[in-house]
Amino acid sequence: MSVDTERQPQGHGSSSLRPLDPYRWEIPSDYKPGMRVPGLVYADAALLSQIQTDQALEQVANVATLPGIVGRSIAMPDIHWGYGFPVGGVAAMRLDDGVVSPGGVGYDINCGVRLLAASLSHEEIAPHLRALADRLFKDVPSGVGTRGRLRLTQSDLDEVLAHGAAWAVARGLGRPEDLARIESEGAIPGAAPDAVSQKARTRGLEQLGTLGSGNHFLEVQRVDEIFDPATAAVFGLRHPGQITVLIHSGSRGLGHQVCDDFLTVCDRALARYHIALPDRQLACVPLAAPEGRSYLAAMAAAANFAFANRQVITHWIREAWDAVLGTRAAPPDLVYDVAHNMAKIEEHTVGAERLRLCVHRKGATRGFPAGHPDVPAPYRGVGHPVFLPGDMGRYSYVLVGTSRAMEETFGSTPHGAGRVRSRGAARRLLRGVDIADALAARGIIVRAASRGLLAEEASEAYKDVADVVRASDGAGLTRRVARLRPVAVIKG
Amino acid sequence: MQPFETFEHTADVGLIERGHTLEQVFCNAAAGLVDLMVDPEGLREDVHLKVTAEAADRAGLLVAWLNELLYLLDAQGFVPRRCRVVELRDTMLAAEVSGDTVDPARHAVRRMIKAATYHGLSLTRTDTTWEAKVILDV
Repeated sequence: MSVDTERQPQGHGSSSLRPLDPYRWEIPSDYKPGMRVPGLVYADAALLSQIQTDQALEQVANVATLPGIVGRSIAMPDIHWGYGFPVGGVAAMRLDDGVVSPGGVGYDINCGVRLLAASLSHEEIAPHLRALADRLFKDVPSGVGTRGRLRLTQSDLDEVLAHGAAWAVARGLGRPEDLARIESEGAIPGAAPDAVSQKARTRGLEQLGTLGSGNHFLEVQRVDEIFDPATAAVFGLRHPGQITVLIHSGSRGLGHQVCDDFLTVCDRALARYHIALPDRQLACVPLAAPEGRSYLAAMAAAANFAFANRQVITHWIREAWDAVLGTRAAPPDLVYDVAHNMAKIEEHTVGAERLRLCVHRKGATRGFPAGHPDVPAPYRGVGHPVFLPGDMGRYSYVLVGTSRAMEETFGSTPHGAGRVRSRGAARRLLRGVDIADALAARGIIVRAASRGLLAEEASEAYKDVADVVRASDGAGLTRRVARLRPVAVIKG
Repeated sequence: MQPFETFEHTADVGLIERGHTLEQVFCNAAAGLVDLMVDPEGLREDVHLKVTAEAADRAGLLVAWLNELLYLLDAQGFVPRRCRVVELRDTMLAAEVSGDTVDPARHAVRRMIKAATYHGLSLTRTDTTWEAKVILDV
């Protein structure tokens, strides 16, 4: 029997924070010994007071001590206390004297979000929604102890790790046109399958096309409001009431094992590279060292597994669509797929210099604006979509990145709501409440592998994602495009 | 003495494990990990495995041990119910574990744990007991 103890961590006082404007707060570089750059937190006063209740800002300062960090250690408005790096943290490192940190990417390498848009409206799907939810719950494996529907051979896995989503499309598990609507076209260059350990590979063999559990989900939604009709139309979001599907999943056990393997490598290499850290979980190696290159190659392979995973899940969704709706409606089209746990080699302007940097985004989304060459052709005129999933009882947002984010945050934007209550606190608060019944009463169908633990993911556990959007838009990092409300939720 | 309990962490789950011996701490940590993922009441003890873990120090060994068990869950569906540490050195552990193959049709599954982390990791000794703290990524 486990019992939750009442322990509140020490927060970060406001005295060390310097307000730059209503949405920007600086942690000066003299706040903590060893900081190489200042920290910069994007939040309004209300969000900041929530952020200060745990150790997230201390973690922003810790990240600022890492070798080779450029500009600032950045915190998005949805920041919360993570392990090592905060969740919602962005840090860019120089390639020649900087480091890469597996903890700055996270265990779930290329955890990310994919949005699909359907042609039918909520009114049209309503009579079939229960059947669709049942079918999706059955067809997309989720939760503890489930195996995927694909059995990969070792050579299949090599192909998945090297080619990502394109592997799935070549196998008939997707449409060729899907690839242009995935970050990096669904395959990070430089992926080396042989940099992935045998243990990681074993974990991946039966997990391709599975959702996972925790905060991972599959959600059928309706477009609730469109704020920017021209941009929304480019994204395929045409009118309020239109049905969309949001997928949140990552690289599953394969990615977790890659992170774990390289944390051990980094932990042992710290002394050799004379790196001193304020937290062991920040373990890192020089980008220019063999261990750093090897991590990036393995991380890219795990990221490709995640892109393929979301692609296969998309295929299961489209099959379920066909099975339940038949000729009534075509299966949904892919809007976009973005990563929010990744380290990427990118070119950015810092001061007057153009630099190639390794940008860590842990719980942060790349949000490149209109005109950027890395924005896929269909979206180059407006910028690519950014998705901010909220909690399962409220709403999610579609945003677009801005040139201001390009200048200030290495083109990074928030990734979601961010937790405000721990899992234990959420369970205690909602003791005796049947979350699935409560959501059903509000017109949201829920199918979950472990219904008793839904309280941990209830609205009360999360910040209101609208507050995050307000701060992000207020700071000029993003622009609202549309809001989506859940009508059916599948949880692991 | 409570063999294990959870403590608050905003995004993840903290786990405290205790024991009169270091060996007990490791086995109680395994029990705590399993309790988060599946109701242990329904678990049989008919699968027997030998598990080894290595790390740079004893606290790191706890992380490595829990991550090895998470690997076995993904690789074989294995969840331990009974545990005996047969060898324990500062950088190496060997244990014999008995347990079940997790099956959502037979077991009350809870939540998947992605990994045990080094963040806030501690292993301390009082007069009579050992206590370890580890934060798990959910």
